Amino acid sequence: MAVIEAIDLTKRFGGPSAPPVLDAINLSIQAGEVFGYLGPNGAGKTTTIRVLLGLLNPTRGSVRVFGEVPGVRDAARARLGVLLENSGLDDRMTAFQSLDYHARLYGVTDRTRRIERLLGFVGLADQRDVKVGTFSTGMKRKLGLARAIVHDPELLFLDEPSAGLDPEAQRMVRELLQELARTRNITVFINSHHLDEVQRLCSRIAVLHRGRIRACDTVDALRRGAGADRVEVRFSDAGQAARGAQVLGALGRLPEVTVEGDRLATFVDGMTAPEIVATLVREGLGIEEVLRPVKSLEDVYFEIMREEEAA
Amino acid sequence: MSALDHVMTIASKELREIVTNRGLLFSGIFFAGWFAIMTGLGISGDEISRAEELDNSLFYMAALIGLFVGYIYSGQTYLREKQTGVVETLLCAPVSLRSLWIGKAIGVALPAWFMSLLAAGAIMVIASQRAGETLLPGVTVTVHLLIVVPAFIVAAVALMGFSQLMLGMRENMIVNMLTIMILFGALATTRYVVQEAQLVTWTAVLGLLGASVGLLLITSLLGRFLSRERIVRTIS
Repeated sequence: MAVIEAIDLTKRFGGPSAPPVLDAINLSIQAGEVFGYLGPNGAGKTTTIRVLLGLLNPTRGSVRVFGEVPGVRDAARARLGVLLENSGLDDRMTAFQSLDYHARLYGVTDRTRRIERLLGFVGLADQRDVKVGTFSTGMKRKLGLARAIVHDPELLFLDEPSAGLDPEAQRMVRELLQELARTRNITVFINSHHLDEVQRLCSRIAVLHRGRIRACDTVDALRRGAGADRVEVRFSDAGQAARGAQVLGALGRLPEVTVEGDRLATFVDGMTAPEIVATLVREGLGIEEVLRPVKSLEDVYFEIMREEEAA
Repeated sequence: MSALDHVMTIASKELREIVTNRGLLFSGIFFAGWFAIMTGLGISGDEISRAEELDNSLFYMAALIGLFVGYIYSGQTYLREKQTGVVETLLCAPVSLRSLWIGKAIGVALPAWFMSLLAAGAIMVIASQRAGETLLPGVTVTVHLLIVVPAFIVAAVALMGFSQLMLGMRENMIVNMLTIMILFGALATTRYVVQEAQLVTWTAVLGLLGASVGLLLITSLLGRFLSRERIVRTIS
C-alpha cells in the first residue's frame, strides 16, 4: 500500500473560476522512499505539503496518507513528522524545552534521554539550555529537524529543509537526512528547489510547474529520458569537424548535427554512438576524443522548465 | 494522550513562557499596578461610603485589568505564534484544534487573573492606607474576584484567541487597535463611574457570571467555525 496517494488532486483558492494552484496531481509514494518534490517558487510545492498534512482541503480529487484522509483523525498525525519552511520553533524556549514540548504533545515516553540523544544527533548537545531565539538559521533548521523526528515518525515532510542555509549548514542538514533515511527507513517527502540536494537525497522525484506535475521518475530515468542522449566528437581541427558534419548530415539518419570549433555534436537518435564514430573513422577524419555527456538533474530540470514556459 | 493532557501541556507551556518572560511579566505588572494605583487613590476617604467604593472599584477594575493584561498576553500567545509559524507546526501535531485554542486561553488567563488579583490587592492596600484602617472586600466581591473574574477572563481571552486565529494579519491589526481603544476607554471611564458608590449586589455578581458563561458558550459555538484551513490561509 502506498504511504501517500493523491489522485487528481486539485486545489483552488477562491471560486471555481480561480486558477488552480494544484492541477490534477497524481502521486503514489511507497514506504521507505525518499521522494523529492521539485519546482520553482510559486509552483505549488508548499500547498501540496499542506494538503497532504490535512492543513488544506483539496478542491477536487482525493488524498490518502497511510490510507486515511489527512486531517480527519487527530491521532493519525502522530505518524507524521513535519519541518515546514519556517522551523516552527518558539524563540522564547530553550532547545530542550522546545523538543520536550513537542514530545509531550506526541505522547513520547522517556523524553529526557531521547531528547538528549537527538540533540547530540543534530550537533546541538551543547546548546541544550540556550534559547532558540539566539540560534542561527542553520541551528534552528537542525533543531527543527530534531523536533520533526522526536516522536519517531513513519513519514517525514520537509519543506525546503536547507532554505536560508550557508553551504556548510546545507551539507550538515543533507548528511543528517541521509543518515535518517539510511538508519530509520522512514518515508521522506522533500519539497525543494535545491537541485543538488534532491539529486543526492532522493530516490524518486517529481517536477512541479504551475501546479502540474511535469515529470515524475527516478533521477537516473529522468536524466536518461530528457531528450535523446548526445554524443560529442572532438577533431584535430575545425575543418575536420565541419567535414564530419557534412558526412553525417548526408546520411540523413540523424536529427541534428551541430559544429562548434573543432567539436561536432549530435543526438544518438537514428544511429548508435559506435555507428557514428565508425562512419567518421571510415572517412579518415582525425578524431581526438569522443564524449558522451550525461545530463545533470539541473539540465533536465531547466529543460522541463524551458519546455513548459515555451508551451 | 487525552485531550485534557494536551490542554494541560499547552496551558503549562504558555504559563511558563509568560512567567519567565521578564518583558511580559513587567508589562502586566506595570499596567495592573498603574490602574490599581490610580483607582486606589480615587477612593474617597468618606467613612460612610469608602467600603462600598472599594467594593465597586474591585468589582469593575479587577475584571477590566484582567481583561487588559489578558489582551496583552494573548497577542504573544496566539498572534505572534501564528505569524512565526509555530501555530502551523502545532496544527500538524496530533492535537485537536479545540485543545490548542483552549490550552492557550487557559495559559494566558491564569497569569492575567493573577495580575487582576494583584491589582485588587494593591487597590485594597492603597485604600486602607488612605482610610487609616484595613479595608476588605465584601463577600459578594470576594466571590466575584475568585469565581466570576477568572471565568470572564478565560471567556474573553478565548474570544480574542479565536479572532486572532481566524482573521488575517491586516484584520487583526484593525481589531487590535479597536480593542485597545475600547479597553483603555473602559478603564479610564470606569474609575470615575465607580466613585459614585453603589452597592455591589449578588444580582450584579451573578449577572456578570451569567454574562461570562454566556460568552464562554458563544466562544465555544464559534469554535465550530475554526478550521485548520482557515488558520493556514490567514497566516500571510
